[in-house]
Amino acid sequence: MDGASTTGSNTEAAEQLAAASVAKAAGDVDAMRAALVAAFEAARATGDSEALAAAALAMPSSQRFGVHPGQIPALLYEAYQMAQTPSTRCRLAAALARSWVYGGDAVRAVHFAVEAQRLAVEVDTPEATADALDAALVARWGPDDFGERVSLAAHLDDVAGHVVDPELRLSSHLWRLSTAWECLDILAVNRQLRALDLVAAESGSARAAFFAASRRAMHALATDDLASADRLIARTATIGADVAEPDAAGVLHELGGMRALVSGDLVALRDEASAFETFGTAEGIPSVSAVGASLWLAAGQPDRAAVLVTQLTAGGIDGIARDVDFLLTMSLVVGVASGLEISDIAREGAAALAPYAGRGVLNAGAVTFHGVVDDYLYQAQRSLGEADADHWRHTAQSAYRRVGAGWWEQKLGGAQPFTPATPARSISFVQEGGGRWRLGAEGTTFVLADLKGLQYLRYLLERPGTNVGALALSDAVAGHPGATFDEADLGDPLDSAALSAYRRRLIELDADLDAADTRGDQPAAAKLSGERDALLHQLRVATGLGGRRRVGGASSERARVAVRRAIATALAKIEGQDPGIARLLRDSIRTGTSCRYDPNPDQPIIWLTA
Amino acid sequence: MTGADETRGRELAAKFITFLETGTPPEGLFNPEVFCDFTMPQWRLQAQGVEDIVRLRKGGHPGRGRVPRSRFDTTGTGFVLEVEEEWDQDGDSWYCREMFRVDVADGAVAHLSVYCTGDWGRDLVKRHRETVSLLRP
Repeated sequence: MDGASTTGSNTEAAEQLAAASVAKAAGDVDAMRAALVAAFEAARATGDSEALAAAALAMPSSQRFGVHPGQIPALLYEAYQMAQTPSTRCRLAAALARSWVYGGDAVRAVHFAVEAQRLAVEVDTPEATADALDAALVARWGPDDFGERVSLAAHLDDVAGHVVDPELRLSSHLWRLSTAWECLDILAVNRQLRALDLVAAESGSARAAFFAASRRAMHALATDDLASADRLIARTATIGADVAEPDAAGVLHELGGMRALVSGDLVALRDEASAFETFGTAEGIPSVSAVGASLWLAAGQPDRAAVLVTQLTAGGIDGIARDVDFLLTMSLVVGVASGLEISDIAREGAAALAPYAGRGVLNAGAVTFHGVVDDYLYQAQRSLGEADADHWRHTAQSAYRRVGAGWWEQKLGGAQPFTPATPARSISFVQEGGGRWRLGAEGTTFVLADLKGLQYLRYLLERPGTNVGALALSDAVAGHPGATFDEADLGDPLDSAALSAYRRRLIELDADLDAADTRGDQPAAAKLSGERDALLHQLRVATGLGGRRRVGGASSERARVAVRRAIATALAKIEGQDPGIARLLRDSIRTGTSCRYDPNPDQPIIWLTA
Repeated sequence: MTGADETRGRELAAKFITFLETGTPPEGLFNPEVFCDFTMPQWRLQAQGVEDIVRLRKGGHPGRGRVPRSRFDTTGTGFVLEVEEEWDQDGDSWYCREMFRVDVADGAVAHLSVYCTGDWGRDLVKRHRETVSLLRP
């Protein structure tokens, strides 16, 4: 190769590396990977080992966890063999270890992790030590390396305290967070969540912000704080859309699946179960399929869950790899097998899980918390009718109390006899043309005239497990969400006097609306609603209160009463047609200043509202 | 113990871990008259007041250390904290396990009972690992 073409290739490598950076900044993972491969090939053509290493080292950031790594390890190895300095060789060895583990082949990673640690001693910088420790952790991600992993993560945290590279700090805090969840060390969990926030704030890195938000969302879901979880999942999605993080979509599915599980949202459960099944089967990732199976079971589709569990255990329980996802896969398989009363799998799986009692069950990187091993042992022993089931229930309950995992503790319930999962029923709750409603199970549907209470019910059914303020519910159904006001904030006597008149008229209107709803007189209800809305608008204008947030007071109280009455009226109408559905709703809908639909897990229903 | 007490207990426990890792007590951790009763495998020491406690701690752990894991449980008067510690000293790496029973008064640690396994050097840790297969690491 002549000098001119060498220069041209060097330039091309630099240009492709720059293009990869641009693609990364734009969040385009595929374009980034293509540019890196082009840079690698250009560097190879000129024998430029540093450019080769630079391209190779950037490649693992385009890898999706658990998915076959393709040619990335081969290219990293080529760069590793050509590397001229211990520092570069150390980084490439660490990257090779990560690439093999992310690609689902942990055995190949060990040699390179050991080599990275040896070279890090030679290089003797905090950055090299931290990089090598990260590789060592990756190579010791199996269930039996726990003690060593905890120690390595603490060591990495200590070393990372001396480096400014946000990626190394991020990695360090994620490892500490993960091991803290594994041993249910809630003090360390909180400390690492704060540390992730700090890395994001100090570095301005969107990637760090993505990890900080997603792990906070995980914590909120684990500790039964759905409102915070929703806010944090939305933030994760917003940041994830702009960041070149190949696992962003996977993280959102993980959080979405867990959110559906915790809230009992059967429609979302079904959607996520399908997504997990499709991806897990297509990519051959057992832990993803196992999550799919558990979601299908929770969605009231035991047949779909059984198919996946049968596939996962086709080679016997021992066929489940003892890798990073062993505890997750095995726990979920045991949980589903217990729920379906597949005794042999539940028994053998419980025996395989027993040595890991006391540990938290997480997916890789602590994206979601799947309870504690003791919980799955309890489920297995309960389904098998074993005497020590209650022992495991007690230890699981103790663990959940320590970390504040209220939903998980509640799910454990008492020591009641085991009942197999009931398949979900679909019930229509649909408003058709002309304002009429069609309700009921297929073949037994009935029609009701429009009622405000039906609209309230539908709004709640579409938001299982979510507290909705009566005032907010009233406003949302009236078509002006967020327009809440409360005269309790009005201190002026003149305004208060005026409000007295308005209040009287509003009370009359509410009563008239209830009566119109009860009669099914929609024209009258529409007219009264219009007058009520106009009155509310006048109030905002007259008092200058539009847009200010208010809490408590007479409007909330009136809304509480109006919503309760409207729902009671609607339930009475439903009862006249189908007492079973009315009872189901009465048992699961709570009204008050705050309203909420809490699905009964023993009677799973998919409400078809659209 | 109320929810507020538990929250304060967790804050104090987090600060206590910082003290273990750095040797410097964060502000608000100790009551000025804090008392410490420190039991080792074959010895017992006591200290009264923040300065004495810091001196006692630095006598055994002069440098920074790590707390790889901990367990926090509330009690009627404060909390119990179980930890593992690791640190490097004199060219060796060291390990111990400790249990702290803490009484809280006026929002700070007022009484501290410490039970420690004693310090295990690298050789002992290695020998233990080769000799004993722990059921739960």
